[in-house]
Amino acid sequence: MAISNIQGADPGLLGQERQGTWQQWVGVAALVYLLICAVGMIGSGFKAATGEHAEQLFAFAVNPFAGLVVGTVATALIQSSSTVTSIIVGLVAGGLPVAVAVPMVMGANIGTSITNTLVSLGHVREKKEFARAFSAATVHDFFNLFSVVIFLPLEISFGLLERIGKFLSQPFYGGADASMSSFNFVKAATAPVVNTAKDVILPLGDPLGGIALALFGIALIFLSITLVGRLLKMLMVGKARDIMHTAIGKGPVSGIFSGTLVTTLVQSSSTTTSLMVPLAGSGAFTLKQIYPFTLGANIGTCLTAVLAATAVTGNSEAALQIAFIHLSYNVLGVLLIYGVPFLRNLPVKAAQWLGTTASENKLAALAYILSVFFVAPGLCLGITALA
Amino acid sequence: MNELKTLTNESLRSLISQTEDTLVELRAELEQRDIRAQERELDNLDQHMESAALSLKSIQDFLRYLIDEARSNRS
Repeated sequence: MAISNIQGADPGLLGQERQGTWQQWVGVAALVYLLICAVGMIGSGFKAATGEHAEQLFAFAVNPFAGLVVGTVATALIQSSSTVTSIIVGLVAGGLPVAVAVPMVMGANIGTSITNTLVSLGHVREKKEFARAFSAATVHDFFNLFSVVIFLPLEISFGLLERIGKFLSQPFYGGADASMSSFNFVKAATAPVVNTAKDVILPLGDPLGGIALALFGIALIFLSITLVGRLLKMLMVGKARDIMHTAIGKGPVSGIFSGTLVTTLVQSSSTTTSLMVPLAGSGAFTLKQIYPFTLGANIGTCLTAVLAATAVTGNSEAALQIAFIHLSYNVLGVLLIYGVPFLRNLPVKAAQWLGTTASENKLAALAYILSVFFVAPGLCLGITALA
Repeated sequence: MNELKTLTNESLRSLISQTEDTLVELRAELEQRDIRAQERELDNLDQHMESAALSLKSIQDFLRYLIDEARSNRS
């Protein structure tokens, strides 16, 4: 029952419904705990399955374009960048080289933007509304595409993000007294569940046990992120409304912070960016006002992987490194593209043009979605496989 | 417009000043209306949250709309 529909309800009851029951909050905590355990299981399972041959298994993705495509298509199909990046964190802990994982994380950013684009299709029957909604959705796509165009060559040439990730993760494993290597509360708390799963599944044999453990971890991540997303959406809608109310008329920086905060609270960038679609579609918010919120969503979604990286076993430092790479990639993307006036309006102009074109010819919207998220990545993968 | 030629410089300056003030007030009113419209939309965030959830139905509707449009263009 929608809270706004409750007429004359007991105020105490209403307050309780708005803030959620304690059982719901316990549910959130349990699901986050499960998520962290699941990433640990993927790392252990992947390591057990591949031994020291993880690099060979992902040899096809050594080409950065292949990695980018894997990240894009996997996220577009699963519809959750948090799930994909958490799985990548687990795989890195299990031996996947960080250099191979970086383009995958970039691809996850592109893949996640399909969700709000699909949501915007629901506005197809009203031409002007559809133009606004489709532009609001695709501004996120264009931002993420521009971000890859800028940072992937830098990564290939100089390993920029890998170096930043290393720099940020080192203090936690560099032998400092308070480093994670000396005492890790999260790892200690999740160890009983991860070890029990290992004890039950790994005896299935080699490599079957490892594969089964990794797949079980992936299924658990998917389940926990889906359920925690639903719960937090329900619990946090009031808080999100308050944050967005505060940001109205306060400029783009406030919009970026609000987008970050709302995404952190609901633990899903798709939820935040999809929420922008009806707000822009109604005409109340302009594309330029929506844009900073979607950028904030990119940053807010990184928390899940950082949290997950704190509890993995195996190559823990590399796992934390890839989580920090994801974070720094998104922060630098916002700083560079939004910070440089010439670059700032490129995604807006591209999205406006596409929105107008798609409202004139709806087939263009379908062609855009299929080509950007499936056909182009498929062609790239085919070409790199042949090369 | 011919009346303008009969006005004194002083009167013209006064008119410009009044027009500028009115313009500022109109802009402020427009801005306030935009903000009020945005606040009204945010008050319905629960409903927007529901409509922003991705469903297979919205994709089916979109495809059906494309097919209907193609049929009506052909006939």
